[in-house]
Amino acid sequence: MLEIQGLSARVGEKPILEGLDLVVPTGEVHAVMGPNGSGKSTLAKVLAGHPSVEVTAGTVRYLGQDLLELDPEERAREGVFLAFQYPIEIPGVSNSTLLREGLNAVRAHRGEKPLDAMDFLKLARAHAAKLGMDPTMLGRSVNEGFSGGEKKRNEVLQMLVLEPRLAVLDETDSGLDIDALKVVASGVNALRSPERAFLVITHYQRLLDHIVPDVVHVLAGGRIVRTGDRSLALELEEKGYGWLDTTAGAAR
Amino acid sequence: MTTASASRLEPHLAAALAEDAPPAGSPAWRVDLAAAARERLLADGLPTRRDEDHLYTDVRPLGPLLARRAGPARRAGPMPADRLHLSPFAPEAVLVNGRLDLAASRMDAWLARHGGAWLGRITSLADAPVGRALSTRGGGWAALNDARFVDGLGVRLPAGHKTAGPLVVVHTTAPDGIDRNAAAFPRLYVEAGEGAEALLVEIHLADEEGPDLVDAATEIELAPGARLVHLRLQLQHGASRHVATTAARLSRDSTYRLVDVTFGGATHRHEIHADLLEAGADLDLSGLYVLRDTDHADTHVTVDHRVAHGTSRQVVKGILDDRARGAFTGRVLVHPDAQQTSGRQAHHALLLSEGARVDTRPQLEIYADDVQCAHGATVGQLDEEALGYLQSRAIGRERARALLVHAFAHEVVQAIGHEALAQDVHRLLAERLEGAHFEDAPGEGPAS
Ligand SMILES: Nc1ncnc2c1ncn2[C@@H]1O[C@H](COP(=O)(O)OP(=O)(O)O)[C@@H](O)[C@H]1O
Ligand SMILES: [Mg+2]
Repeated sequence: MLEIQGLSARVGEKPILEGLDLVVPTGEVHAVMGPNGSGKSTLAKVLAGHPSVEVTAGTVRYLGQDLLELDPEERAREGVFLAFQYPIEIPGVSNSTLLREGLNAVRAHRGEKPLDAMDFLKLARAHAAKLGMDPTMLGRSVNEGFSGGEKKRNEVLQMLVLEPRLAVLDETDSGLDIDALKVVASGVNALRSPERAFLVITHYQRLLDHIVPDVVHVLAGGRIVRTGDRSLALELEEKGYGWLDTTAGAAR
Repeated sequence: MTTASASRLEPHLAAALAEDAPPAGSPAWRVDLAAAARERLLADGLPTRRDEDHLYTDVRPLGPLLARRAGPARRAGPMPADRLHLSPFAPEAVLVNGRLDLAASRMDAWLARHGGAWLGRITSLADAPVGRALSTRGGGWAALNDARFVDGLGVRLPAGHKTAGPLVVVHTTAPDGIDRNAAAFPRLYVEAGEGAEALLVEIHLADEEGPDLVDAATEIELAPGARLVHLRLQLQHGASRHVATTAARLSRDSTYRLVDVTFGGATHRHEIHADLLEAGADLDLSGLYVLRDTDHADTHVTVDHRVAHGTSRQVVKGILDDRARGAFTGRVLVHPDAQQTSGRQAHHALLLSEGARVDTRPQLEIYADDVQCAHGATVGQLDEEALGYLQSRAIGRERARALLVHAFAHEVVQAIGHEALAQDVHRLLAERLEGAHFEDAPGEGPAS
């Protein structure tokens, strides 16, 4: 589904990703772990087409297309979704407006009819209930005055409504207590299917107890330095990232 | 006229004022009001840009238009409010070129539903203090209206009266058979008795073939405990010139909430004055101006806090595209006895193009020591982060921009406190963002 080759990217003048390779086949859940500042969010933003990141080299293919050629909204319509690490607040735009406009844009792209207000509300309420969210939040401005945990749930709600093919979750676990984490994980697990793929970015392996990955990658020094199975996450949990720095250095 | 030689008013304007004096048979107050205004205009002349209060608006193009008062005219075609698809309220009163159009109005129906209330020609009022609210701070434009309005609309709500639904007043223009170099002088007088509550909707439209200038004046008298929500919608066409004065007198514990929405025009100048005369008076002004091309909108607010325990809030927002120009002056005067006053003011402008420009001039004049006053101003562009977020949720960039513009306006629109009308304003904004004009051109309305 996703093939990244030799990806280099910078934020401002600062190179962050340097020749990153990563392949996520359809139907799989891949975790990306790595120390703070290693470029995990930068990778996520490249995939979403966030304007703050500039790609300087490499290719990203998504379902056979050149992903980097697409505008951010085209990527979303093609099924790419990023749950942001730091979701922003948008005063004056309600959650339901965001969700409905987004969903109907996706549906139009697929040649489907837009959902009317009633059907949409039913759908949004059902998903919100699944995530233990108060339905009144649909009428509130996007993330405005939300706690950190509420913002994260709201990202997952958007994911459930938009039903992406490739979902990138950027530290969706941070800021969540264990109960919220389980709710969010069950939301993600409900979407798991042979047609979808997930890239789960996390700093802690805790989340991976609930969203069990097929493959674990370690990002350090701007590239993937290790790829393994679940046990790699446990090893990182035990030893920290310190031992990897030397490995990364040696790989250069 | 002997005064003419000393006058600062051009002779042809002085002559026009004399010609437009109230006809024989007018009530005494009408004659006196016009005479006083005339005298004042002869002495002071028209406002010019040299006046401190007129810094931002070039009024020279208005002079020639003032030489002739627009004559009576009938408008044909569907009701303007229908054309705008405003919520299911037909206007109670329609004024064309500053004259009540009885055929287009439905005042009798409204009166039947509102026993005890009065609605009619302003010149039928015998004992109302017409002109009082405007006299305190009203400038040259208010004086011109005082001198030249024809019949206007008067509204009197008795104590405790609560209107059912919005009271919609439409001012529009139509060709009077001579030419467009003329001015209309719409007038509105609203009096709310003790504890009365009402939602007033004042809509200004203009026909592109009608007179080029509108000089409107509205005055509001609020008795103790009265609550008035006043939505003022200026929807004249892009080449129109609109100068207006809105003045309100607030007595004890009364609330005046003005939502002032303006969709541009070649010249738009609105002077707003709120006089907080007694304790507990509360002014809430929410303004929105939406400009494009070379539109020009100048909002000039004066709030007088005369006694203790008054509150005023002003939030004025501008959305400016192309080479539009906006200006906001917010003058808050806290008089020496007005302790424990709360006066807040904010002006926020959203610039959608590089060529747009705004000026903000807060003027706090505080002569009491125990007060809370604050002002804030921002000028900014659309938030790229927010645009990016919406795009990442599949929303196209143009649509995302529109959503953020609506979000910016939302606080003001919400202040109407009436869901259907708020939606109407959002819809007008959406149409304007898509390039619509709102001129009142009869015959173009939907067949109904
Ligand atoms: N907006 C920015 N401006 C400058 N530097 C940034 C910005 N965002 C991120 N960085 C830098 O880029 C590097 C990678 O950041 P990020 O991708 O957020 O890492 P991670 O998500 O792995 O913690 C860090 O060194 C960070 O300081
Ligand atoms: Mg990060």
